[in-house]
Formats: sequence, structure tokens, C-alpha cells
Amino acid sequence: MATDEKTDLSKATLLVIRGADQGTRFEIGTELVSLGRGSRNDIRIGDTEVSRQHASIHFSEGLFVVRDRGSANGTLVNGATVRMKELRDGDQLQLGRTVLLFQQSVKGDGSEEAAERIDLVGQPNSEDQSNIVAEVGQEAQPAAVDRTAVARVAASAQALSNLQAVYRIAEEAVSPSLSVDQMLKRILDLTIGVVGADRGCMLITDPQTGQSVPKVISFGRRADQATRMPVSRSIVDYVLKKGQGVRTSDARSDRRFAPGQSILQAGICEAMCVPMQGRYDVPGVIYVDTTTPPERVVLEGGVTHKFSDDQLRLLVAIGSQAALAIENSRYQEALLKAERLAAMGQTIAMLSHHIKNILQGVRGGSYLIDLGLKEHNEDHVRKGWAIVEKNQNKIYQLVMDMLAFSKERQPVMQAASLNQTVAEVCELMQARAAECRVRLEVRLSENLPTATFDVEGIHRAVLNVVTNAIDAVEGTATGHVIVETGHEAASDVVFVSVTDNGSGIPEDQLARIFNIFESTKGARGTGLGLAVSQKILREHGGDITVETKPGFGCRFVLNWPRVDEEHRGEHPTMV
Amino acid sequence: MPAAQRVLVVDGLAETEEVLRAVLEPRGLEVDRVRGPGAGAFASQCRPSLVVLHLEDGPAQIPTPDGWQDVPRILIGATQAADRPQPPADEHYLEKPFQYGELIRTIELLLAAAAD
Repeated sequence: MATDEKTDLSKATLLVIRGADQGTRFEIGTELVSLGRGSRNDIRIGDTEVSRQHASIHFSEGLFVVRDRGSANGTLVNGATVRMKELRDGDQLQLGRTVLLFQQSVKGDGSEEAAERIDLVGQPNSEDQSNIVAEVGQEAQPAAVDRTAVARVAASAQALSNLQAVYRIAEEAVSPSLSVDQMLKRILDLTIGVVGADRGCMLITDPQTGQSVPKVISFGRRADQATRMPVSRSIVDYVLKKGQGVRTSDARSDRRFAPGQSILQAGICEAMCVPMQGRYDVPGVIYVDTTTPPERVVLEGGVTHKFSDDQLRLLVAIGSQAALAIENSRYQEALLKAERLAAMGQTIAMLSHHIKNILQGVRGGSYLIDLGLKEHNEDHVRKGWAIVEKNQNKIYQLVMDMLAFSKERQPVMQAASLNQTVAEVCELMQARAAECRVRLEVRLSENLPTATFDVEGIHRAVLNVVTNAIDAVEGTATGHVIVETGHEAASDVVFVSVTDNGSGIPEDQLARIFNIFESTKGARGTGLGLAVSQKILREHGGDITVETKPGFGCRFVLNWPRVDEEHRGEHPTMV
Repeated sequence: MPAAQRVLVVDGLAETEEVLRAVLEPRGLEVDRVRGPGAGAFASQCRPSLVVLHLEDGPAQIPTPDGWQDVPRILIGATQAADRPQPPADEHYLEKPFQYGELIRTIELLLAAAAD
């Protein structure tokens, strides 16, 4: 459960739950954060329906406030267009087609409070349940969702409002944006109102220790907020053991509550306790009671039984809903953990494979050097040294790709000559191409205006794509790679295209080539190159596209807007 | 030793070819390297004396071109080939990362055995 989250109010996250960047998580703090499609935003959203400068979020007095920056399509919070709005944990922020989930650790999700304000009284496993006046169980099918209870509730006079209550609680139970404790708290708040209780709490069984611990507590309007809530341990144990919901009589005469305990002062009249019956087990109980102020107890001699059997059945149904929600959330948590471990395993496997290949190369070089030194053969030493240097470069490229992919580095946008960057990459790659007997041809556009880009990033992206192209044709008789630059005047987009005459990419692999650690290159691929390159291009507000025809090679096009919003209006100069 | 013995490297790292070429060519052997799909075309031109086959790049079962059945071969793989049935005498398996000295000794052994 999410109780280990630190309650630091000045930190929040935005998780993309729908859109091109789905799964990306952005951390936000007390600094002003800008959101938009333009590359200068703190949070870049690769969505064509998002404006370049769309919205901003600032932190003020413990609250995060979103403000629209005059976007074309508006900023929506939970489906409603807003100009400015405070964000609350669980809010869904929509910009264009992208939906971000706002998450902020909330102070006091209730569990500390619950632990402090609930007294578990009485002996565990006491046999004394004499005050139980009614029981409702799951009957023949303890593992099933208790539809019979719901049905019986529906048949009662209060049918409609009870059904509404069950529906609202079911809705909370499937709400994806809340932590378990928050969700339980909301369910409990609703429950108290609907069964007419004054107080309620949930005791959840810790999966590790098997102990039932108070998790959430809720007080109705009439209840004295300052009091502590006594909960009969024997009732809880009975309910957990039997899997039955119970209604108890006036607790003042209940022998389990010793006279010395302040039950009279607290004035409990009645309590109901139901199991949270899930699919597989009972993760806890819901316990509600009514209180009557001591003076009224004295004056009226107690209040008539307030809870009915219908309300008990309703509570049993709610218990089931809450249990299913807990089970679902535990299942999701387990699934997430398993996926994380699997992804980590895949990452390590891929990296160790690649490093092993580099090691193999280094061994080749050092073997030749060793041989050359022994035989006084300088030629061997020279060849060996070249191999060592080549593999040293491979390690460098691997490390740089890893850094480019992992770090939250802001691209350094500057006006520069794309032709110069591409020429540098191709010059670097000529030696490699020659070694692989591949013809590397460079066709630089003569009329390329200055473009705005992160020189280091684009250099890396082009290098990766050209490396792939050479690898794709290496070993064929007529390997040929063409690198071109260009500018599309109509859309003011610059591009670098890399064309090879290799075997192309089969259709079934096409969708996966940009995935991290997906490599079709066997020993030579890290599975990082294209993923990193795509990330870089998206940081520029552009993308990489690929055209391929199996048997006829590939054409990768890296394109991005020639100027970003900060440089717009500057006169384009020819290079 | 008959003239112009050929060692063919199929797939794998360029370094394998570079090292073998540097060491074996001065001894009168020829070393070539092809990619998996090119192996058949190469085979139709000439018959290698020995094949060094990298298993992970191409399909796990590389079809043996006609007339290659009795060509000795060295398989290089990423994992220990424990479940392989009794390999033929003219086949040898090396697990990456291997030592080049071992590869060259194995080539010498297999070629010597084939020459007998």
C-alpha cells in the first residue's frame, strides 16, 4: 500500500496516460513548469493538437495551479476547459489528445490517524458473541461476489438509493488514479452516509504479518470528532473467521467492553461489522457504529436500534466491492513489479551481450598485439592496435547512447549548419564504410538555410542511423549508402535522409525497430541506436520515418522544424 | 599441406576475420568472410576447407550447401551448447567470449585432421 510515500507536498508528478508519450512520467516541483509542443518547454508533448506554448503549472502555498497559455485547443481538467485551476491528486489534465494524470502525495491519507484513533478492545478470539443480533453471510458461495446481498438490498424500500450507493462505491473502487488508502477512505465516507452510521473504520489484514490493523477512519457529521473509536476485537475476529457480517446490540450492555472502559461516555449504541469478502480471501473488515451523546443516553435511556438487516446486507455488498478493489490493486502492484523486473532483465541481457562482443573484439586485438610482440612482427601489432581502438570507440558510443537515452538532458538548441554536422558524421564513417567495403555517398543540399538544432544530439542521431545503414549492407557485393540533406520550403522542415540498398526490414519487424533494446542486428546491435535517435528527434519537435521495401533496402528520414518558436521571425540565412 | 586452403567465416564480428587473416594468410591460407545469405553463393564458387560459423547472427540451423557436408566446421555461439547430440569429429564448438589462440589451434587441428 502507498503509505510509505513521503508526504512532501511540494512534489508532484504528471504521468502521460494517453497520447504519443504514454508512460512517460514528469516530476514537477516548486519551479514554474511550462508545457507545450515547442522544444523549449520543460515538459515537451509530442502531440500535434498541443500548442507550442500550451500551459504552465506553478506552485503556490502548497497547491499546484495549472494555467492555460492561450492554447488553440484549450486546457482541460477532468474534462472541463479551464483557464486556471488548482490541481488535486488524481486529476486528469488534458492538452490536445494527451491526457496526463496529476499525482501529488496527499498529507495524511488516514492510516496514521486511523491507528491513533481506534482502540481495539477486548480479548482476541473471545468466544463471547452474545450481543450479535443478526448475521448476514456470503452463504454457499463465499468466494463469489455477493450478488444475493445486492439483490436483497434492491428489493427493499430503500432500493433505489441503496443501488445508487453501491454504484457510486463501485465507481470509486475501479478509479485508477487513487492510492488504495485514498480509495478506501472515499468508500468509507460514502458508506457511513448510506448506512446512517456515525463512525466507521476499516481494518486491513497485513499480508505479511496476518495482523488486522486500522487503516482508515471516517466520522459522520453527528459524531464527536475528538473521540476515539472503540472497536471490539472479538467481533472483528468473529467476522474474519466466519466470513459473516454481524449487527450487534447496544454495546453498553456488552460484557466484552469492561465497565472501566469509557463505552458509556462514548455512548455506542450499535455496531455493524462485515468482512471484505474478495475473490480469494478476506483482506479486512469494515466496522461502523452509531454513537449517542452520554447526556442523551441518560435522558432517553438509549436510542432504538438504528441499523436494519437491509443496511447490514448493503454493508456486506460494500465490503465485497472494497475487497475486490484491494485485490485488484494488489494484483496491479504485483504485475507492475514483475514487468519492471522483466524489463530490467532484458536490459541487462542486451547490454551484457553487447559488452561481450566488444570484449571479444578487444581479445582479437590484444591477441594480435601479443603475437606481434613475441614474433617481433610490427604488422601484427599495428593491426591489433587498430582493432583495440575500434572497440574502444564502440564502448564510447555505447556509453554515449546510454547517457543520451537515460539522462534528462535539455537539448542545447542553437542556429547551426546542418550540412556541416552531417559532413562531420560522414567523414567519421568513411573509414568504417571502406573497411566494410560499403560505398558511402554524401549529397549535401546546396541551398540549405541555417537551422536550429542541438548539434551534439543530431550528430548522434545521424551517426546511429548511418551506422545501421552500413551494417545493413556490409558483406553484400554492392553495398551503397546515400546520405542527403534537404529543406522543404513549404513546411519549413529540414531533413537528413539515409538510404541503403540492403535487404530491407520485414514488415513484422518494422513496428518494433524504435523500441529500446530491440535489435535485429544480432551481435552488432545494442538495440539503443534507433531508440536514442528517435528520442533526440522528438526533442526537436520532429521524428524519424522509415520507408522500406524488403529486398530493396531502407530509407530513414530524420526531420524537424527548421526553427523553433524562440527563433521564429529571424531571417533565414543561407549557408 | 595442399596449396590455397580456404577458411570461410560466416557472420559474426569483423574482428574474427581480421585476426584470422593476419595470422593465417602469411602461412598460405586464404580467409574470407560472408554474411549468412551470401554463404550459398560463395559455396557455389568454391569449396572452403573449413568454416567458422557464428550461430547467433543467422538462423540457428544454417543450411549446409551441397558439397559442404564433409567440410570441418567450428561453431561459435553465445551459450553453452549442452543439449547438442554427439558432435561429429570434424565439428568443434566455441563459446563466446573465446580466446583467439584457442580458435587458431582448433583450426590447425581440424585442417591437419582433414589432410590426413
